[in-house]
Amino acid sequence: MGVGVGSQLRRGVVEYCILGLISSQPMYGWQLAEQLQRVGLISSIGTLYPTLTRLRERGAIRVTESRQGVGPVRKYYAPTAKGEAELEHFRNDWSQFTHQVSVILAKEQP
Amino acid sequence: MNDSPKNSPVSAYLHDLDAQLVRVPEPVASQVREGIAEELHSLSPAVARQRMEQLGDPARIANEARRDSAVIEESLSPGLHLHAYIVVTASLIAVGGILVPVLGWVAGIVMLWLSHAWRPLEKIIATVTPLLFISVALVWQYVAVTPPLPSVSNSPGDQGFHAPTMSDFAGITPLLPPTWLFVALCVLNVAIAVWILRRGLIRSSR
Repeated sequence: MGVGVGSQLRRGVVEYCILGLISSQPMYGWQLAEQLQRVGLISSIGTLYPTLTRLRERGAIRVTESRQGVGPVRKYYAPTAKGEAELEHFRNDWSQFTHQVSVILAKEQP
Repeated sequence: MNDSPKNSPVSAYLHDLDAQLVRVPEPVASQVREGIAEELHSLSPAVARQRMEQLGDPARIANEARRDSAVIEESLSPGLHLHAYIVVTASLIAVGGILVPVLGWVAGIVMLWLSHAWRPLEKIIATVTPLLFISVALVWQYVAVTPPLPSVSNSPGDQGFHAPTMSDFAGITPLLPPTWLFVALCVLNVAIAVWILRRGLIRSSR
């Protein structure tokens, strides 16, 4: 996979990966950045916040400030109903998309 | 970090990050800063040091945030070039109140608050400073400069109740600001506009 294609693919799916991560439990910025960096979806925390801003601007996520245990007050991100619907839609599209791409690529192999 | 003196490594790192984030548009810049600060402030000094190494160069973080923010700025200002928006906003703050009294300035402030080109603190400073200045100046004018009320004349011809004339209220009403206050307010608004213009243009430059 070329660097350009990989970068575009990552940029296209990272919003939905964030929605997927926070759909099970709200997460704060650093948690998200760590998980996304580990799988190579973002290169640094600087890439995370523009993506979170886009999600907030279109009403897909909400932010709440809370304290977990004895830790500090943090901003936690959670999906809105719209975000949940977007995620569900993407899940359906993604499985079809990956299946179709796999079929096409498989045909090209000798 | 539980104890964070101003000269601690965390403070130095955040200071460096702030300087690098100057060119990143709002609200992304504030969110990056808050996200990193909340993480570093929650750690012990030793762990925070490791975390800063993990985070890497603040310049790199800011560059990536700026690159990815370009899409947001375009979507937030459809059909209107950001630089033009910044110039119009600053112009209205500077001279809008002269061209269309009060409303012209208010229009500039509304544009300021609607845009992501400025940080919340900059918006607050630009809005509150002229209001604070004019409030203090009017109170000072009223308290320190107001002449005493005309004394009741004891001459036989002036005795009895009579309607006050405008001269009786000269210098009393704060609704008629003196010329010096008007000029000072204009100068202040121009200074704020230049500052706002500079901050907006620096941040929006790619």
